Amino acid sequence: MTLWSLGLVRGVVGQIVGFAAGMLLVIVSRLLFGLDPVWNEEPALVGGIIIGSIGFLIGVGALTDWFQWMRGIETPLHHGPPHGRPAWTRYFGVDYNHKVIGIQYGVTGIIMLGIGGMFAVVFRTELAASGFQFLDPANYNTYLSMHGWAALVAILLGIGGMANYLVPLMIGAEDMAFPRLNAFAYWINVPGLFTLLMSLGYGWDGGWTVYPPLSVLGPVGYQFTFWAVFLVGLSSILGSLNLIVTILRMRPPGMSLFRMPIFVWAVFATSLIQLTATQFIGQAFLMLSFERLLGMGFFDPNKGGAPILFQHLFWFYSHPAVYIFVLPGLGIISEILPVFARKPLFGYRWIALSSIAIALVGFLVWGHHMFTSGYGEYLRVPFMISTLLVAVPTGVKFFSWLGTMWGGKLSFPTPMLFVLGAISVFLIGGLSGPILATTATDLFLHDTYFVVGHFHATIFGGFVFPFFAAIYFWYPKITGRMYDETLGKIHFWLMTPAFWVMSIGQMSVGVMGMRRRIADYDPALGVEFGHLLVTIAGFTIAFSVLLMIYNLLHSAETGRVAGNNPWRSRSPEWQIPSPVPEHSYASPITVVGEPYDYGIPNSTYVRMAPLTAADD
Amino acid sequence: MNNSARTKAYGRSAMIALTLAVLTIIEFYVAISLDSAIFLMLIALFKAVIVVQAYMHVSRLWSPEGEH
Amino acid sequence: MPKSATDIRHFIIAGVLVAIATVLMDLLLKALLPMPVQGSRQAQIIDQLTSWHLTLIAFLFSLVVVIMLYSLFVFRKSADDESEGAHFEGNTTLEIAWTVIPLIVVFVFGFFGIRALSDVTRAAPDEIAVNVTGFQWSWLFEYPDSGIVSSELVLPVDRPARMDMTARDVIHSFWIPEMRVKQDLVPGMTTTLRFTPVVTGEYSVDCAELCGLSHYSMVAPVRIVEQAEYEQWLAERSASAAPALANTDAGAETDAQSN
Repeated sequence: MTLWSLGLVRGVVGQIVGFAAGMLLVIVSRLLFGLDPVWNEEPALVGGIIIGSIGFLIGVGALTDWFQWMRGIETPLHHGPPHGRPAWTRYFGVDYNHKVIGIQYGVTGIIMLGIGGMFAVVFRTELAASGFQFLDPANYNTYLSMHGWAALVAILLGIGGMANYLVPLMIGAEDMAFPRLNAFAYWINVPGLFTLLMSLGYGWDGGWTVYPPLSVLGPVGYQFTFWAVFLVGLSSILGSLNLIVTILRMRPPGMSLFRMPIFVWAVFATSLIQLTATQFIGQAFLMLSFERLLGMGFFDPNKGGAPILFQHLFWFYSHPAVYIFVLPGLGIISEILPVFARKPLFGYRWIALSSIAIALVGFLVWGHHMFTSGYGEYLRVPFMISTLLVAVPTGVKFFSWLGTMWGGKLSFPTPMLFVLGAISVFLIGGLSGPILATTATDLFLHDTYFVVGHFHATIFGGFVFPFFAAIYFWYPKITGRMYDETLGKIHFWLMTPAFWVMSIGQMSVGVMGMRRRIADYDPALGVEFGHLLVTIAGFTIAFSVLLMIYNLLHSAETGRVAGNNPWRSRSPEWQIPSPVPEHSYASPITVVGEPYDYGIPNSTYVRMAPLTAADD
Repeated sequence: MNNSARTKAYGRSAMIALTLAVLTIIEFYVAISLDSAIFLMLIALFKAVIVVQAYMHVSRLWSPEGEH
Repeated sequence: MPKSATDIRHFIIAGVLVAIATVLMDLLLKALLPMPVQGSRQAQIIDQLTSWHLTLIAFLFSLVVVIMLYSLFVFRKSADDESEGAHFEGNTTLEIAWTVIPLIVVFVFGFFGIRALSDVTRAAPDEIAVNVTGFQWSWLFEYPDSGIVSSELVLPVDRPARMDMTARDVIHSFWIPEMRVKQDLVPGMTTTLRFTPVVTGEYSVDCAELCGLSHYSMVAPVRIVEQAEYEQWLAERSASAAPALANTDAGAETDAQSN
């Protein structure tokens, strides 16, 4: 086995070669069109970014099958590990099995979470005391901006991982509706995140929100960010398309929509948002790129443009985006609670529909990010009311979770601990929402650290904690072994109180006058102690995550053998062997009961073989 | 779809992509020199129709299942 | 401990605990989230609304956390019990209740929010107008009635002020924490912010929208003074020749500062 046999290696080479080719293309074009000077760094780099990304996709092999089809060659779907190479190599190249792709998404997501977290640890260290310790204003701004996008890419990848791995398994499907598109949608993220990381070489200072005119006037690092997000966004759109078709068309007999596992509803609602909203940020970032490259004055008042237009376009995606981030995790909470309460999910239909309600109402609230932007006064009240309304379906979820726990027979292995942690943290985040939704109070809190506290709590509660719960919960199914329960509990008990401290600390310093995105603060504000606490909390969280990584890696070799169903779950994926075989379901399944009928003796959800006439 | 039909279909897709690119370049120059919103809308509409039919195969929504 | 999940005693105990927790949480939240001095009429209104929000948060937090903790302790499974819990699929009355009641709360808080917004943004007949220009990375204040240009903002106490603002380069935002309200400055347009200072003292206006390298230090001094001192300041500044605005480079101080 050579290095060259790994798709990832060929992809990287493809990206390097493509980058050079793209730059050359731009230089030659400028020569031919008589543009002066022939070497202009920014257009050359953008040419390199675009062709480099295509080069990566060609190199890794994500386009190979489609190229073959264009030449009229058949390409049967290959199942199983690659011939003549070790099985692990399949994770480093194009593989069409949704379980492999799910792992690829998940592991890449964890890596990006680490990278995004690292940026935070760096500037949190700087912020622990006032005065400049080791960062300067320029690199501070770059690191905080990178923290934003790296973390958000990590979330999209983590969601892709959970959805891709679990949805086909939960509906007894062989694979996703479009396996090649699935592989492509994963792999397009990789040149995207390489491009994002390349931006470090040049720096950019606008925060993840990259408002113009700052992002048009700033360094060329911005271009890397615009195009990286474009690529990651494309992955989001294609992946969600795949999931919607799979969910609507590939369910087994007996699995009506209200008999699906609840996580599938959550993914469905999320996919509806991803499919329809992502285009707006792609568009907005393209406009920024063209304004820089081609002088198109979309957001330049001197050319008849308007800076606020960008904010509308950006937030029209980016608000629904936060529901993309949290809906799957909230679905994980709903999925795991019944298993450890040994009770039905309380109000299953209401929970399912609340995800759809959040997705729909989420499209109507974007203006609450712009209360101070200078847009028309008449817009403030409608956006305030619509934003407050989102609290209603969200409340339905919280109360339903309480209803699920109440009267159950609760046990607390690590996945359940992280679900409970998720609920407590999402509660803090969610409750700090209405005060921001109310315009008058937002006029004070906007662009302060209170907002930072709010969204970190909602994102950790809605994604990070449930993601970790999911990793621990399905780890035995994926690997066939149990993780170390003691280490898992230590991870939880370090991370959760630290996170509560971090949230309160951030909201507290915000209310005391600490603005967002500032490299240094006035000690007279009295926030130094709060910042120290937040930094210590951040370090604690980072350390606890390292413990988890160690646990996952170590237990894969030495963990106790798990068996098919260590959690005694009713869900289909727990009725098949662990680890899951190449072809997950030896025969098609039939749904004969409700998913969460715990407490009814001898009730079955899924029959592992098709119903024959004799069964009637 | 047999292989030669497939190859032809890909060829058509490539031609349409090229057409869209050319139309975009035309749009750019129309915007700069003519500055006519109506004309730009018409070109955009035409492009949208091409995309919706040739790439999204919208007319298949009305054809019976399994046919093209 | 009653065994049945629907025994009324569970709800009574949980209810009492929620009430106690609400009171404690309300105190805790207000201690953890101390607001700056109420420097303006707007601050008084906003802080009142904030206080109601915090009480609501205290209640909802207590409701969820107490019931959750109660369940975790009372409905914990014993070590070797492998049986299932009680079979409740749902309760339509509860579902409707916990949809409709939050809806009502939304509209109540919405109403108070609308009223507060209207209160804090209302125009006054005798406003003092100041033209504010934000640029990377400093502020300029022009008093159109007197022709004064200053790099510090001086206003008389207890008189409504109106900032008419624009930015020269990128988006900035005008924020004096003690006055509470903030408003972005946008290139190519004029935005407006109203506040009525009610406490004399020294404050600072901080830029609240990331604007590049020195965003963190884009601050300017603000002095709220008695009416007499304000008029004296105006007179002094008008008297000395107001030098023409130098072409400001990024971060350069203007010489309008020299007195």
